[in-house]
Amino acid sequence: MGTAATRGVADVVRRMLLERSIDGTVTVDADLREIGLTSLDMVDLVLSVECAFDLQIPEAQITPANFRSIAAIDALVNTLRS
Amino acid sequence: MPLDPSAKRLLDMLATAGGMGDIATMTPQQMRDGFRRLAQAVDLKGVPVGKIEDGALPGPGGPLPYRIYRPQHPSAQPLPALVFFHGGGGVFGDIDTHDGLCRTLCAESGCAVISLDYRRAPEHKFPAAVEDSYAATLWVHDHAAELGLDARRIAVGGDSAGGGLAAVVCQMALTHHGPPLALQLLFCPVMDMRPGTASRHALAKGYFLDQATMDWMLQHYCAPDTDLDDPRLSPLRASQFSGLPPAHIHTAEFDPLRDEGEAYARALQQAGVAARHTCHAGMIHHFYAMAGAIPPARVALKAAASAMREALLGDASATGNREV
Repeated sequence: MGTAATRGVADVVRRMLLERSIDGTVTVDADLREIGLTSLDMVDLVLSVECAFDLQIPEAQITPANFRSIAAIDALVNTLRS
Repeated sequence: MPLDPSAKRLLDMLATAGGMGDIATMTPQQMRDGFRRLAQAVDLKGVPVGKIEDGALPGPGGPLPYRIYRPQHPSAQPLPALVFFHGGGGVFGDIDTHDGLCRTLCAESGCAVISLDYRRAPEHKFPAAVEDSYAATLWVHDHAAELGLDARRIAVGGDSAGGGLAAVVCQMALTHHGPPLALQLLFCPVMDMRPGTASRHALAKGYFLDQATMDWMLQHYCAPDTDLDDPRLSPLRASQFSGLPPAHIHTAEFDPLRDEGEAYARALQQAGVAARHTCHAGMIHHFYAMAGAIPPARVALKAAASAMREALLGDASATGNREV
């Protein structure tokens, strides 16, 4: 099940996948790039996560690794909120 | 002023993400897909308008899809209207990628906006987009009554390459004794294919619209032997500016196209045309269509739409280049 943040991150990711006609069933550890999100989708992901959790992600944290999977984003969000 | 922090952040994010990819090996379809993805990320979403309808009008090469936005709060009846040509170098961009921009212009001006899906290169090279844009403008003017629009208050507008198209449509309306157009609304327009301006040199790389991308677009847009001085490609190189419709030209401080937009405003002013030029400090090319990521763009767009409304609602007999 994961934390509330995990579910929030998963919702953001699933919405993006659906908007792009990609199968929305995705595990928390799945590599989002491999599933079909492009580098530009990563920008959408950053902005959407910021909006969903009402936070601004420091530029140094906006790295491919931090946005690789739902689990990675969840860890980032939890770090920023703690 | 320095680069706006939100614009800088977006540029940094795009750089980290690898941008749209390597332009040298990019196909037009990849560019179209990438641009649509970018719009999904940064476009202003959910701007309420009264009514949206998709239709098609007869174009020189077949039916031309368009989308008409009608405001919740009309500025006048019948409605003043803006015929809008999206940017994308004539190769990419579409009605959807500029939906947030058109919605905002409609909602904030109280005017109708008709966004045109003109033919794109390389499938349809220059001057297909020009011919479509002019034909659509004539059609909107001739069918204004049935569309509920005011034929005396038709503006044309566009951004980037679409801004160039709007300027060209005004020039064609003048030389072909076409309909009177009330305003040309140009956002960061492409005005010269052989510019050599300071902004093209100083901002050639790293400010969203790279020179490499512009070279790529031109290569797809035109046949190799095309005369780049043709005013339908480079409206700044036209021989006549007097008699053109009033203009609102919006440029961005950190846009390589900044100086050619400003030069066009100056050329119009010297020819006695009422041309207003606003250089948006700290902004980058395409800022007006990335208001989801660049908040100051919303303020700028609102002001641009208000100015359009005022221009269109002014005395119609004073704003047209020819009387109906």
